[in-house]
Amino acid sequence: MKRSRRIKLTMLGASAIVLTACEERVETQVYETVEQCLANVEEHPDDCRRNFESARASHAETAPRYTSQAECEAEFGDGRCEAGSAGQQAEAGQGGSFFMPVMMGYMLGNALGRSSMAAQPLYRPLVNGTPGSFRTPGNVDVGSAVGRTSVRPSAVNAPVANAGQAISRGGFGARGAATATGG
Amino acid sequence: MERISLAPRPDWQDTAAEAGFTFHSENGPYWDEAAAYRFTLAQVEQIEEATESLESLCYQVVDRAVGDPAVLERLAIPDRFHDLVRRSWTDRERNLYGRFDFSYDGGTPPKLLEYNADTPTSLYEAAVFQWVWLEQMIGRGALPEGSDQFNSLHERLVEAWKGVGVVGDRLHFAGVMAAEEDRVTVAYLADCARQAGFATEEMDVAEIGVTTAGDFVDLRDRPIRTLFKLYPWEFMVREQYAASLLRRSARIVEPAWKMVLSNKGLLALLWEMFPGHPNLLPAFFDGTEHGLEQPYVRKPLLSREGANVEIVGMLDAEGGPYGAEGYVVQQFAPLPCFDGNYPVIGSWVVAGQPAGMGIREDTSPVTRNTSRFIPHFIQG
Repeated sequence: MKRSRRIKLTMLGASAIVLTACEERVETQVYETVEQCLANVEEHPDDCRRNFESARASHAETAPRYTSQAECEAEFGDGRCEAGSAGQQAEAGQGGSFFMPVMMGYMLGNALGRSSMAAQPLYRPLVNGTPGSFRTPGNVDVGSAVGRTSVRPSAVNAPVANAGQAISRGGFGARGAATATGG
Repeated sequence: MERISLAPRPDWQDTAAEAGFTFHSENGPYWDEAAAYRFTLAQVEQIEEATESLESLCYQVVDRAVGDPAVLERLAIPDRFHDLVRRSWTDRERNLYGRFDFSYDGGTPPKLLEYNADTPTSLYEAAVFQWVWLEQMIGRGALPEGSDQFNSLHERLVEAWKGVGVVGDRLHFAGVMAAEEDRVTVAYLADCARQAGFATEEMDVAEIGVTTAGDFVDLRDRPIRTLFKLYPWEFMVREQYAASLLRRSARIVEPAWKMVLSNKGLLALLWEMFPGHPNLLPAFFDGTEHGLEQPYVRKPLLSREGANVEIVGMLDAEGGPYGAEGYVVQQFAPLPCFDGNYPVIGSWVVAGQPAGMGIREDTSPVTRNTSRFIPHFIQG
């Protein structure tokens, strides 16, 4: 046969042509607080705090950043944003201040033997005015469930630290603006 | 090879809406399933073999070009990017995909009209919507069981992402998102990358930022380590952030060496190195003593969608903004005519391997942006 055996699309609103089994999922655990984690994790309670601290440290490095509090709160809700610390700003070589959403939960790393998993801070951007499902710093939706859950494989990739602030944008695109550039 | 009239699926527009195929009627009818092309397996294999052999010739052209600044000069690649092109090749940066356009009549060897090596589109409709069409046509009894299609694009694209050498674990995808066709192509390739296990981020090329150091960042100031861009290299090297490309802090797909292949000068270089090859047409840089008899085709080195292409002695140039960098001339190979329609075979390569086919058809012998996409199937 010279054609693909199956095709699935995970986006493009492609409900009708998902012609194969569900997407592979990765088992993990999501908690809002350390206490919640301790109540659920029987075997290695130390992991609860260690993962929380690791997610907390990653939060400072990887949280989405906004140049104003209003911009951040428009996405995450009133009172759900905090200023980046002066130390972080100096470290990142940033001139101005920035704001980021508060951490609303965390996803355990190294869960169930997957050594490449890192603990991740989680955020809940607003959906129709109320906090929606948990999202990783990479903006991967990991659902609203607390406790053991399964997530898209891309959710468990280690979050990427923010780089220095962009000093400009728009240096590409002038020649192709408003016209298709493919051929 | 035969053009067959078929009844369109009555619900195909709903299927298109569900499948995210939003541009099927953007500039007049584009997806057209009132007809389909039927191929025999032997004919498809002829196209497949031509594709495989041309891809290998193209690598030989790149190999020569990176070792010879005069060749890069002839292709109008700016001097300060010669080293970037060379290093992207010697560091073996892998490519993802490309599309050869052939004139083919079902019998004589396919002739290469051009190679869309850097920013080919019509990918999603070839890989997905054409495939769904065949599945449904068979399922509804409109085509016989066992009908096949030259189309393993989707499977190969997912696999290719795993081997392309993604740096970091997030892939950034940029294109001209205001152009629906480009946006869908970018979204589709990002989808394939997600199925290969990568986290992805889609953005407009104009949203790319640079830091004080000159590195590329996304809208959240995260570093861009691997960038797929549906945006021509020849534009990028002539725009404001061109100098940042020289830092090589981001791995870019397609790699910089595709600048050699996405240039119509490729056609002249191929003929120079492999004269008389059955899948090539005589082609020369314009201004040389080419000796071609009219009609012949004159194409800008850098041109898209048939813009500024002229058939000398037959058809005036299509309008368009290209041509400043020079031209090539190529012997005119008349497209076969089926019921007043001129089909061009788009033959895809993914990770260097033949991977499928999509056919564009026009009532004019020059294929343009407005040409229709006609599905195909294999029988016999």
